[in-house]
This record gives sequence, C-alpha cells and structure tokens, in this order.
Amino acid sequence: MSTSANKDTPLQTPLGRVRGLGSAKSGAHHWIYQRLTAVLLIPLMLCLVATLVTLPSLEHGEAAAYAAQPLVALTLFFTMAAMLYHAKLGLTVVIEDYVHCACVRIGMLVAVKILAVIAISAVSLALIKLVIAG
Amino acid sequence: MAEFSLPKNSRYKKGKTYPAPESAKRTKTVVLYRWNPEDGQNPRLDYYTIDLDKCGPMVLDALIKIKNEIDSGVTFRRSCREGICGSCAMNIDGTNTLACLKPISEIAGDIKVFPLPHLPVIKDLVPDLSTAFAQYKSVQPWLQADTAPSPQSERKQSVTEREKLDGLWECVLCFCCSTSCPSYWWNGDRYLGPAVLLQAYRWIADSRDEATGDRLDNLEDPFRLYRCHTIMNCTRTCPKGLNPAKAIGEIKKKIAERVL
Repeated sequence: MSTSANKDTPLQTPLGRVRGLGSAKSGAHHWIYQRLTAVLLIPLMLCLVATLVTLPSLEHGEAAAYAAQPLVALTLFFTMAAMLYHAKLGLTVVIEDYVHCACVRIGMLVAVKILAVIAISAVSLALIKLVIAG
Repeated sequence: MAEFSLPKNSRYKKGKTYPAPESAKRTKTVVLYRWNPEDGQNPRLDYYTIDLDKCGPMVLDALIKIKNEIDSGVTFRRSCREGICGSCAMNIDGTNTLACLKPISEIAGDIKVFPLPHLPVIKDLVPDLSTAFAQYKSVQPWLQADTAPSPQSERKQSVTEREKLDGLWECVLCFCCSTSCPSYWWNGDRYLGPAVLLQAYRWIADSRDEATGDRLDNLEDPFRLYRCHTIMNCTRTCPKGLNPAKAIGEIKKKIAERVL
C-alpha cells in the first residue's frame, strides 16, 4: 500500500518517506549483466544441448573424458558461470519484488549471493578435478 | 508479500439501487464504488440507471448527472472535463482512464466505476495521492541550470532538441499509469512509478537542463527505477496515448551509457 504511514514514523511527511535513505546509486551493473548473460546464454545453451545430443554415449567414463578436454571444460565453465550469475540476478529481482519484510528480504538476498558463490565454486572444483585427474 | 485479496474491511457488498425514470427509452446502469470514512461500514456498490437521452456522451457526464439529479453524496474529483487537468482519473470498465475522455458508447453492459487501484481511498472515487505527489516532488521537476540566461533572450533550444520533449510534456499527472502497474502496487512506497519516471525523463531529455547527472544519480536505485519490468500496463492505460515504459527504458539506457 503506497501511502500507508510507517508504523514507526506515523508523523513523517510523505516527501520525507519518499526520499528515505536516498538513492542506492546502484542498479546499472545489475541491469546490464542481466541482459548480457541472457544473450550469451542463447548460444551457450544451444551448444550444450547439441553436445549432449551428439555425444556418442552418455556413460560416465566417456562423457567425463569428453568434458575433460580443455576447450570443452572451458565452455562448460563459462556456460555454468553465465547461468548461475543470471539466476542470481533474477532471484534477487523476485525477492525484491515480493518479500516486503525487511529482515526476511535481507536474509534471502544474502543467502542467494552465498549460494551462487558456493555453486560456482563447486562447478570450478569439479571441472578442475576432471581436467587434471581425467 | 504481494497482496492478492482485499483486507476484510475493504471488501465491497451490494448497496442501493436507483431505477431509471419511467419515461426513459435508452437506459444505462452505472455501478459506483461507494465508501464513506465516517459511517464505519464496508464499501458498497450502488446501481444508478440513467436516461441516456438526457445525458452527455462521456462517463464524467453520467457521474455529474447522478450527483446533480439522483444522489448528491457521490464524491469524485473533476475540473476541466476535457482531459487537461487529470483530476477525474478512475478505474472505468476495468481500465484506468479519465472519465471525461471515456465515451459511454464504448462500454458494453453496465459502467463499473472504481477509484484508482491500490491507493488508500479518502471517499468514494477519491484516492489519496499524497505519496505519488511527494514522489513527483522528489525528482525536482523544474529546470536546473547554473548558466544564467542572457538577459536579452530566452534559453535557446533547437527544433530537434525541442522535439525530444514531445510525448513527455503532454502528461497531465493523472496517475492512471502508476496505479495500473503491478510493480507500483507491490512496492509503491519505494518505486517511483511510471508517471513520475516519465516526468523525471522529461527533465533528463531537456537540452536546457544542466543537472542530468544528478538526476540520474537520484534515480539509479533498485527500487526507485529498476522495479520497472516492462510490464507495459502504463502505456496501455494512458488516456493521453503516451508511452511511460519507453521513457523509463530511455532512463535505463542513459544510466548504462555512463558506465559502459
């Protein structure tokens, strides 16, 4: 509800409420990278699907050997990084849109950031292990 | 969280019915949202059947007829009755528009009239716009320039520079667009909304203004600007045929331009 006075500051003026803590002076980066990753993901996902379809066998050993080739591993890493970053940016928007309780929202936004870092770390670890250990 | 149903004390029930005069040949029923802050009752819908042969062509004419001839208690804002003042913005037949620009003949069935959505109601069709006007004030909608104009002449602007303001200056601040926007419904306390962002862009696009950077600084915020997800309800509902979604897109492009 847009005009309802804040419970804690019922006598604050509308202009005081609207100005609030001021502009965060951020958002450009989010906006640019959400679009950039979306565009990059089109060829990357097509490439991933094409690879999975044309792979002679999906047996673990053979698939792992294929993915262990440096160029394939690099493309896989890039695909996962773009996908996870895009997901992180997208989830952030959903949470900002719909979660209005400040403490829950801040907790969820931090959790999304941490989960994204854990996920990309796991991807990196798996690919390094694959390339080095075969 | 987003609210998908009305709070208990906001749910409306059926109210009074006022039948048409017996002499009427062509009739139309106007269904009005009524709420009185002083009687402690829930809102109600009143049904007024009017004689179209004794009424002007627009929905505002029907509202004025009802107020003058049937029920003087009906409360709504109106002034110019020609789409210039932006006072009579309301939700008519499911769409936010100006009652003075909406022909009765365009509406099939009953004419359902509600106040602008998701704003606190002051009475009947009058919503509380104080936050929206504070948001308008927050974008400092006036020319800002440190260079003093020559005492002999006005601030000059070329024809092409002036053309950039077309589609922006025509906005009458009726807030039909802002109150049709789901992002404004969910986050109207922090998101500035399409009407105010279009006005902000009107000054960003003005070649005579020297505060563009400060204006962009003030807008670059996940909530103030980036709650716009190009849903396009604003452009679809604008009774003046303007395109607030495009103006918001231009602000985003300007902000991207200065970091890329």
